[in-house]
Amino acid sequence: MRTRRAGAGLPVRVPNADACPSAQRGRRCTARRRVRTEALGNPLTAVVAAVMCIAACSGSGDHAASSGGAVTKVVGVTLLTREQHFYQDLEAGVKDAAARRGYRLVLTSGDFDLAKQQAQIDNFVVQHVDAIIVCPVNSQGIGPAIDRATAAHIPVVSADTKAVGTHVVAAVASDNRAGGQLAATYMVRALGDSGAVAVIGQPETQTGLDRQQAFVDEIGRHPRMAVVAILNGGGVRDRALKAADDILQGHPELRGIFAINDESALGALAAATTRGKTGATFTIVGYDATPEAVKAIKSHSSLKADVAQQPRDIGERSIDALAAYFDHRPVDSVITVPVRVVDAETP
Amino acid sequence: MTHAALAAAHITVRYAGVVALRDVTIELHPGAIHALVGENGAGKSTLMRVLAGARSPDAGTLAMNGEAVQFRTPRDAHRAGIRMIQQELSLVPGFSATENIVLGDEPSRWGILDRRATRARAERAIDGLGASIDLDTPVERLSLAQRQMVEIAKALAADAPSGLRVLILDEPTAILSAHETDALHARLVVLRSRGLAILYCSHRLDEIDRLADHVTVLRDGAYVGGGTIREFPPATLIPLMVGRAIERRSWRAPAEMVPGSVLLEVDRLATAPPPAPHRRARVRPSGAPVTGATDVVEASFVLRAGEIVGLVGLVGAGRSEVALALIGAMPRTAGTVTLRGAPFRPRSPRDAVRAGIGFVPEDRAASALMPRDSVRVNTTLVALRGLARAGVVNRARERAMTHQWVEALRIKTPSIETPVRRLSGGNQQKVVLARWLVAGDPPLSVLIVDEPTRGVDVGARTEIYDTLRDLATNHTGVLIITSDLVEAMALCDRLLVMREGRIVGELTGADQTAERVASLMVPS
Amino acid sequence: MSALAGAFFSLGNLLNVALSIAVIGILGVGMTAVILTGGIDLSVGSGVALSGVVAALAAHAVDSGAATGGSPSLLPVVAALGAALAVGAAGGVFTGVAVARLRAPAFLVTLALLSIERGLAFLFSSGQAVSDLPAGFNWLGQGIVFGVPVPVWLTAACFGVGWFVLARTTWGRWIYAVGGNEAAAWLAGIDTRGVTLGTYVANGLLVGLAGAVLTARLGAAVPNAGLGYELDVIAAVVVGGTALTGGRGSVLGTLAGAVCIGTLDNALNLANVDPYLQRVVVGVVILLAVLGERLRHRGRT
Repeated sequence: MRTRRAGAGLPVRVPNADACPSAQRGRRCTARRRVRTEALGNPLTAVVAAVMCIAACSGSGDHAASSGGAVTKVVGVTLLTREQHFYQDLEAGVKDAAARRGYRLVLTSGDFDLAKQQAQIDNFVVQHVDAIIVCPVNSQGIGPAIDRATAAHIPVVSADTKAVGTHVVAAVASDNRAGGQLAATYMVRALGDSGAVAVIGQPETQTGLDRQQAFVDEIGRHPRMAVVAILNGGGVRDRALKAADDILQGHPELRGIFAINDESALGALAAATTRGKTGATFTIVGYDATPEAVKAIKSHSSLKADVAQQPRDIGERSIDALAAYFDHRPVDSVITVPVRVVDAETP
Repeated sequence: MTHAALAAAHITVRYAGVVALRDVTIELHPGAIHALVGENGAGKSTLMRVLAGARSPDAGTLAMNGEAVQFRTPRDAHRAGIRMIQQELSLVPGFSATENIVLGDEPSRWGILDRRATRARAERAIDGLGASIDLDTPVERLSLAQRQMVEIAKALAADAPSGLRVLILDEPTAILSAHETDALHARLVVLRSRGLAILYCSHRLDEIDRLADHVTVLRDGAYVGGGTIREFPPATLIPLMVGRAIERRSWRAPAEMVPGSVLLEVDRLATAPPPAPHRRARVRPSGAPVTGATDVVEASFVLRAGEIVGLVGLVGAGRSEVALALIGAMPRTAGTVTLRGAPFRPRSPRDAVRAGIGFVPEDRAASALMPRDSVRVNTTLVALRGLARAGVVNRARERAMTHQWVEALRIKTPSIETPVRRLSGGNQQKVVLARWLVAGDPPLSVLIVDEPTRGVDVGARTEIYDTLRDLATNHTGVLIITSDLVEAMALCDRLLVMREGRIVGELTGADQTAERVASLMVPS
Repeated sequence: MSALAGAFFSLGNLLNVALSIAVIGILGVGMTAVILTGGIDLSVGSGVALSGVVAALAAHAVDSGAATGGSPSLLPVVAALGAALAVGAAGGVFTGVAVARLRAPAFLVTLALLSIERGLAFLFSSGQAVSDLPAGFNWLGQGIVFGVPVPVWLTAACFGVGWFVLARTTWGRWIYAVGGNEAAAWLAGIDTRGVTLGTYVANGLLVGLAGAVLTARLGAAVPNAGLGYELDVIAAVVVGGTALTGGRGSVLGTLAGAVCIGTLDNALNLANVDPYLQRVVVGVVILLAVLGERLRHRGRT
């Protein structure tokens, strides 16, 4: 179960629904001094109160690994989401590293909601955690919340997406540009340095744009290759499928597609398969190396390779950076976790 | 002699060339309640609109306290101290009484609402009425009577230089219960004693007798009589309103009238509308607010095959409610109905249709027609199942059937595919009638028609009468609800008179005189 | 530009457009009926995802259960398709009962269902794609019959049946009547509640079918499939001239609307128009279509 902690710190106020007995409704003698108390008698109020109650009660329910030591550090973590492999692995890395060091974790997820994530960070500040790890929902928007934590002398580490316009102890992230470049390099080798390729991107996100741009830049260095189309797949499979359909239709000569994440890659794979494209004639390069994509790669489909991030490493190194900070050792302000290519030969 | 608070002289109004008011003169005096009566379409609404500044007269003059005035918009009339309370109240449902009372003229300073002044003004207005209304409750949670009080308070709170001087009320009690009506009248009497001139338009002649000081009768857009209420007791008003000499002109000799078998036997039927707003209204067929509906207290009668029976009474006597309860469109609280010898208890109009009972509602646009659909679709609505096999409509038969009835009823339409909203009122009504005539399975044994010729031109009126007579000749029992006494006399074999939710009398043969009907309709 | 036009008008591309509007088209048939009754369904996108996920899980469950017993390979396919339709119909019953019996506003009921079904899709799938579906099931999305993809056949069938039901049957007439004037329909003895409920259930079945088709095309059920489809579908219905107030419109209009929007998307993609700009263009076209309809009506009255 996901925990909503937004209301955790607030006192639960049970509204006095009977401020105006119903028998007196309609009489104005008592009503004059009453400022719309009836609004509180609304059933909605009861629901709100109940939700706040649940939030308050479950506030302490999700503390992961803990140890009995008196000097245990408490680290607040707000993920971007818990519904994607990438962040599940990142979470696992954080948990493992924290368990090794005996840190106690308070785990939450922003669920793509900036306001929610800001509230979570503010909550950590109120709870006086010793440090915060944040996977920003929005690189610009999270700045002020991080500033508030820093002002309260709580060190913050960003994991994955970087936070812009604020100061963090360390920014731990994959190198998305390096990933895009790596994908282009693989594509060039697979196509024998010639041919038309396309990109299924997700221009709404910075990571998507970085990967796409690095890929396009690298292909541009090869005169016999060309990027003939860049379409938006929205990072989801069904939209990517439709984009790939259109690309394949409009460019029969196309020999390869780079997809900025695996959902897009698997959508492109479905489109290519329907059109009879096999690994012999077509190359798709994906990103993230999710189990489903890796399985497709191992089965020698046209999805031939993936750029793999190492989310576990990102998680572990975030904790490591905090450990160094606690021990007053020097901490690199930018920690780049390398990416690698996974293909059918990778064990 | 004191000047009239508001006097209208020789007012003439034309709508698209048709004369709606012809040379009407009326004077409203301070400290008096002036009743305005007349049949539907007599020009009452038009006159009120002229007095309230909502319509400029094509000829004639207005004067206040002897000085000529001209209103270009209702706002001009407001400033002069004239307010009209419409039948459909114009309150913002989610706003409190206070907010509604000052609406459009909120006390403010530099654009910021002055809450204290707002409050004071609303309290003053409500106190002036002596009403007890929670000023903070959203008006949608008030009863209809309370909302009306808020509306009147809004008029009283008007920031006219001279205060409110003339109050015009259009059918204010149409939506109120008897108890609420008494309360409203008490308030109006108070306002009268403070020197307000009140114009009170109502169908309920008994109310006028109790309340008004003067009365003006309109008919066909013209002034036909008026004076003090003592000179014009209710029984004298009805013939004036109706005008044409009312006499029974039977459409068939009594000898021709073969008493058929009893189709429908209604025994002590009673209804109670669901208390609003606690229960959400079901489809509201009459279009009237549920709270405004009159309870049927006790209705007993018999309908035989081949006769036309008229159900008459003043507006609000509960006539439509009897019909709605009969077909299962309104809950029945007591009584039994026997249809062709078997108990009949419909849960919805569907059961009535299946039993061969048809119903033509009073408000065509709201409850009978699908205005944007074609004549064909509207005609075959009820009979559609019979025109289909395995759910698939036989289109050729549907068209043939429609053509047949369009011809039979002489419905004037460019084609059977013409949207029914483009037809005249009379032809629209014929389409609704055709809908029930087409239905052959089960055969139509009872047809209830509420206001068969409302909004229908004279020519179509005769044809509709012919259709209903033919229907009766072919052994259908026809129940007519009508406010038009001439119609009732000309069409019906028997008349049932309703008053205050009860059937108080039955008139047959030579007993069917205007005087007898009028004396039964109005409590003595 | 002529090369572009050539690419656009080729038979292959027309089939491509038809394929790309298949899911929206199937949903559009149901949505047209719902909107004709004066209702709305905002939950179709989530319904597509949930029915896809449940279909995939059902296929797996039957497959693993049957693996021990030596099974006919058709069973998982039937189970998957049946599960998708059942989930869709269940959503339709939920909405239909709330709207027809309890008289709750369809907008709010389906807004709630949108959230519920999306949540369930993620819950049942643990947030992951469910892949490895039986080949027979994938044929629904990937198969080709007489040179035309199966989803296109299915969509054509849905439009054909939808048109016939609405234009030629009593039930279709009653749907128009309920949307045109519910009080009049009720007084004419039509079971208005039953008609409304039935319409939502039929719409639900189409949602289930769309979910199965999309899942089969992707070869996997993805819990975040169908995001925002409700808006695409409503746009197709409205561009096709169906009035949101009910009682007026047709599935043929919806087909035209879906083709119009699908063609526009496709043309913009072929022309490699900036993705940001594409959204603006599509929005403007919807706006023009709706405003044009308004002006046409104003001109008449």
